[in-house]
Amino acid sequence: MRRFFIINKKAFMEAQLNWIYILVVGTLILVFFIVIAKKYMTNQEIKINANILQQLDTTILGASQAAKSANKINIEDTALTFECSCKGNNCQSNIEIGDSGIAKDTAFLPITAFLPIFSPKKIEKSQLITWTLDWNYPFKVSNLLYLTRDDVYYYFVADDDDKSKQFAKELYGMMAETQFLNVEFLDNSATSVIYPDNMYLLRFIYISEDGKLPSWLDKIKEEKEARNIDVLMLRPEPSGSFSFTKLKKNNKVVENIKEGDGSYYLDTPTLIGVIFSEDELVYQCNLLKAFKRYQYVSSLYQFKAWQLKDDSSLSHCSVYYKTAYDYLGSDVNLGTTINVKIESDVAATVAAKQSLEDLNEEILLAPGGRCPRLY
Amino acid sequence: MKLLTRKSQLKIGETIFVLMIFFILVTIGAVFYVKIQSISAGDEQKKQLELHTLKIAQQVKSLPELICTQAAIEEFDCIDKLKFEAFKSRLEDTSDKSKKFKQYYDNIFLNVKISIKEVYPTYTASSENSEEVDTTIEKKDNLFDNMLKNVKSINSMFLPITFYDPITNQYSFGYIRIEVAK
Repeated sequence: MRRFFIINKKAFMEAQLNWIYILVVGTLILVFFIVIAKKYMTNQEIKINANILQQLDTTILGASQAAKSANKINIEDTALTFECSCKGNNCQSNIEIGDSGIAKDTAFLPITAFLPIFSPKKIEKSQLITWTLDWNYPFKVSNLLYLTRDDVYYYFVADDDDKSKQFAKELYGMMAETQFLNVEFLDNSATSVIYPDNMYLLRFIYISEDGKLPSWLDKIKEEKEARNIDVLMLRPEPSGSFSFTKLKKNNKVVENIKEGDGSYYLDTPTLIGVIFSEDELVYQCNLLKAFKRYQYVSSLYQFKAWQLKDDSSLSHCSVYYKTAYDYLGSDVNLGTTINVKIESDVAATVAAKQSLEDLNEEILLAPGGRCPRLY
Repeated sequence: MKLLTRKSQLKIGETIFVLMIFFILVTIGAVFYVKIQSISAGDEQKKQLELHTLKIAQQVKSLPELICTQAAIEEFDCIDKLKFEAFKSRLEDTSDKSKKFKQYYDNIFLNVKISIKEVYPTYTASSENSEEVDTTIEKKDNLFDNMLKNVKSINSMFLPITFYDPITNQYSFGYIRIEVAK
C-alpha cells in the first residue's frame, strides 16, 4: 500500500514536471518564432520603404529631367515627410519615408540635395502628384520639381478687373493642363461651388490689385470640412510679392493669420513653386537652392563669355561678350547673396535676367559677321 | 523504482534529442534561407548599381552646366565645348570658391567618375601650322573623379554624344564614359 502511494506520488510529480517542461520549452519555441516573425516584419517594412525610395528616386530623377511632365504615383500607405533647412544661403532638402529614418540623409537621395522641390510638408494616405517645369533665368539653370497630394485642391479666384482675371486664367490653364491636379477657376463670389469634403488642404489663390481678402472666405472656413484652408494672395504681376493667410489649421478654424514675413516670386515657374509650397519657408528654402545652382551655372557662362571675348576670330563680337561677362559677374554675386525677402534683391535679379536676355538677342543680330549666342 | 527512473531518464533524453533535432533543422533552414537571401541580395545590388549608373548617365546628359542650348532650348545629347572647358577648369581650380563648387558637384555625383573623349573628327596640328589652336579633346579627358578608393564593384557605361564648338560652329562625335561604384 505504502509502495503504491510512493509510485503514485512519483507518477504525479513526473506528470507535473512534464507539464512544467512543456511550458518552458513551449515558451522558448514561441519566443523563438515571435522574434523571427518580428525581425521578418521589420525587414519587410524596410524593404517596402526601400522600394518606395527607389521608385521615388527614379520618379524624382525622371521628373527632374523631363520638363513640363506630370505624373501620379501611388505611394501606398507610406508617409513622405519633406524638410528643407538653410544655413545662411546654403539650403538642403531631406525626404523621410515613413518613420523609418530611411532617406533622412541626402546620401540616399542625392538628387534632393540640389533639386528645388516645392511641396507640402507631408504626403500620406494619398497619391503623389509630380510636375516639372524648367527654370530658364534666362539660361537653363535647373528644373523645378513640384510635388503635391491628390487631396489638395487649388482654387483660382480673381478680382473683377481684367488684368487679374487674365493672370489667374493663365496660371489656371497651366495647372489644368497637367490633368492630374485638382484645380478650379472660380468667379469672385464663389457661392455656387461645391467644395469636396475631408480634403487635406483647400488652397485659394486670390489674385487682386488691392490685396484684401474677400468676405465669403470666412463662410467657407466655418462650413467646410477640410484639415487646412489657406489663401495665397497675389498681385497680377509677372514678379512680385505674395502672402499666405491661414483660415483653418489642423481642423481648427483660425483667425485669418497672415503667415511669413513676405517673400517674392521672380517669374511663372517660381510662382508655381509658391502655389505648391506648404508655406513661405519651404518656398524660400527651395528658391535659395535654385539660386545656388544659378550662381554656379552663371559662373560657367561667365567663363564662356570670357573665352568668346578673347577669340581672335570673333573680335567683332568682343564688345558684346565683354558686356555679358560683366553682367554674369554681377549675376554670380546676386546668386551668392540674394535675399528673397528683399524687394531690391529680387528686382536686381529680374533686371539682370532681362539685360542678359536682350544681350543674347543683340549678339545674334550683331553686324560684321557671325557671333555665337551665349546660351 | 530503478526501472522507472531509467525509463523516465530515457524519455527525457528522447525529448531532448527530438528538440535538438528540431533546432538543428531550424538552424539549417535559417542558414539556407540567409544564404539564398544574400545571393539574391548580391544580384539585386548588381541590378541596383546598373540602374544607378543609368540614372547618373541621364543626369550627366542633361546637366545645364554642359549641354548645348539655342536661346535656352536644349539640344539633344550635345555638349558645349566651351561650357565643358569652363566646368572642368572650375573643378580643377584649387581656390576656396572653386572648392565649394567642387563640393557641390561631389554631393551630386558621389562615387562617380566621368570621362569624355572626342572620337571623330580628331584633329592633329600639322608641323607647318603648329601654333593653330587645337580645339578637339584628343585624349580621354577626366571631367570629374569622385571615386572613393577600395570600392567593391564598378559599373561603367558609354554614351555617344556630339560636341559643339560655338567658336568654329562645328560639331564632332565622341562619348562620355561614366563609372559608378558602390
